[in-house]
Amino acid sequence: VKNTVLIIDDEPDIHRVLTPVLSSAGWGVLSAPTAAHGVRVAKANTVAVVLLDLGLPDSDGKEIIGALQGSNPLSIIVVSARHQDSEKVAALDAGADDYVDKPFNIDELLARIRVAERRAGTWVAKAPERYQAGEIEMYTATRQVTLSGTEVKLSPKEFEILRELLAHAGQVVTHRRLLMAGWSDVTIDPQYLRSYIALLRQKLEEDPSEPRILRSEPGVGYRLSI
Amino acid sequence: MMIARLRLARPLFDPANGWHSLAHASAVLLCAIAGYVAHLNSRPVTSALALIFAVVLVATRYGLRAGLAAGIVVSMTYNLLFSDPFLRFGVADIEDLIPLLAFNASAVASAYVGGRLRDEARRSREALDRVDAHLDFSQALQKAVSLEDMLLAARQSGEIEAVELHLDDGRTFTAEAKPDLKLIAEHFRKQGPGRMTAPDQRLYLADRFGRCFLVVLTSRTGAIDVSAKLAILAIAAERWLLTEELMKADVLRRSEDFKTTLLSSVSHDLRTPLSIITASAGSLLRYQESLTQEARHDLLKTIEQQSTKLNQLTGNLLSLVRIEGGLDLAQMDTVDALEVLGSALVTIRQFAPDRIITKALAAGEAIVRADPSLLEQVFINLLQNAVVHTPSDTPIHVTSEYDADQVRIAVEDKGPGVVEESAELVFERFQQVPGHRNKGSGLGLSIARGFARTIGGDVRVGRRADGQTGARFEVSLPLIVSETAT
Repeated sequence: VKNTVLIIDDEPDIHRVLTPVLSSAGWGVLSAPTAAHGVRVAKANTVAVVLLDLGLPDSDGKEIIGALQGSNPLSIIVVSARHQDSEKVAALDAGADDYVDKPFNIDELLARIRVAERRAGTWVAKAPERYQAGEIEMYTATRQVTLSGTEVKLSPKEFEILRELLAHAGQVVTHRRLLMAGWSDVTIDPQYLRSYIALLRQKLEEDPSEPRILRSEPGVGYRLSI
Repeated sequence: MMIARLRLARPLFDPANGWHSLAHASAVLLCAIAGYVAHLNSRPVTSALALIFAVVLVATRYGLRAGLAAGIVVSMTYNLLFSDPFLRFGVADIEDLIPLLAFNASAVASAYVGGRLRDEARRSREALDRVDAHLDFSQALQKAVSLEDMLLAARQSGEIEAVELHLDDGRTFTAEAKPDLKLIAEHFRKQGPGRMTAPDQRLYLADRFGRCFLVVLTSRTGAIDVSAKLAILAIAAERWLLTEELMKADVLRRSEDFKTTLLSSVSHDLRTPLSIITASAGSLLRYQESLTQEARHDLLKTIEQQSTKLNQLTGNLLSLVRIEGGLDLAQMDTVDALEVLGSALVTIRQFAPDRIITKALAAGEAIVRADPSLLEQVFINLLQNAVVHTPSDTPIHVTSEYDADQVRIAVEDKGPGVVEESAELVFERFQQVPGHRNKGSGLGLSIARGFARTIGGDVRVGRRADGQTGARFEVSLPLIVSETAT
């Protein structure tokens, strides 16, 4: 048996649809219909990934992100029908690792769970010396970055932004976190960030006007796709 | 004494007008002295003229009554001091009577004419001031955008110390809330229009004009002007009420229209994919065994596609409601329109992987103030429109160019194009051009234009730039000056 996924959602159909799919993909599945129940289950079991709905009957899902992470090194994917960008950003800044809009494409959800699962065990570990995503490789000690084996010259800020994206490869990283990575200051005009992302795209993307690697999530942040 | 009881048109010495009054008094005194000196030098005619001139001076400055009083004083003085017998009324010689009478008559007549002239001038000046004040007041009312502003204008125009406006629908507006005025207004509303003098001589006035019941507190002297002001105020208030009603009716009608069309369209557009999903799922459940593997797969594929369609429709409906509800441009972020276009292109390629989409994009950033999700929806809707309404083997071409202070992003297709008569129709909600029904929801282009206009841009349809057959949908967005662009 692989790791365990905890689904916290008050909609019974979500459990009914997801439980067989996740089980057949090899995960153990736990279910909770309320926030309080979810926190109890997370504390009593070893959970790798939580699929968290925001509109729970007893409290807002955002409120329990801290409590969920308190006990286990687990990853939280917000799965919500609230499509406002501000809601997503708030959940991510509160510590969620990723989000998926409802209704979701099942393949995409499984891919996100796999990414989250990989990161679940490493979040307290020391920053690794080597990152890899797709054709991109980064050696943090020598500050070297290669694309398909060819070295790419990056400025210090470009390097820090890319490192943050690589550290969360496959997951969305909010503008705020990228500003912290590049400038250690969240009050910087996001326009600077956009300029640096554009520079990175020039160096890493086949077609910078239609980026496939450094995807933007409008209003939320950027995602390095793997 | 008579002089003491005279009510002068202006005080004898007005400190604000000090030098004027002093000069005037000196002139009168000079005339009197000149008259006396002339008399001592046996120049009776000069003496009389000087004295009459003094009377005229007094009359023109202090009005008719003061002039007449001065005339009488001068007549008596002349009789007593200047004409024989000295220090006695009456005449020594019958021949002296004629000049004496003539002098007296001239003095009184001069006083009368001078005084009347002065009083008339004063009255017309006051009338003019009053007309000016009313005109100013009217103008202030014209500028007022709310009833509160109107009442404030009334209070600032002078004479009105406090005012309350009661409407028949129960609403009350006030400028300078005074508890006693509130009580008195309550009294008047029961008793009807009227007036009431307060112990401190100020006046409460209540009057009804149409639907407006006005109660004011005013100083007593202004009462006549205040009545006129109340009438002007009531007319302005009545006009404001009419405008308010018209606007309410219009908003209500538009929102009712919107709801009706939305409901009828939504029920149709939602039911179509839903019925396909229900039918497919039902077939799968009931005839699972008799269906071939391929047929089962097709049915499942159909369910997935129709669900995607439903989701897109829901997204568009939510966007529409957000745009209808009003968006605050100031709260929006700055985004690079070309970056958002890139995301939209990636999404649309997933939706239509076999479609050829070519690009000719200008270099650089196109920074605009916009809601990023809605802007992405604008591009997706335009691209989707081209994908859905043109043959699948024709290419779609996307261009961007900078034009002065805006960026223009266009989606060109090689379909039949849009005939000029239906050029505006394509942007109407729930409207679809004949021959293209049921391919989209009829919302995409309307939302694209609605949002583009909210952020100061527009979406237009026209011919392809290269003159070939096909439509060109162009989004123009105002660029914001970038301080940090690198």
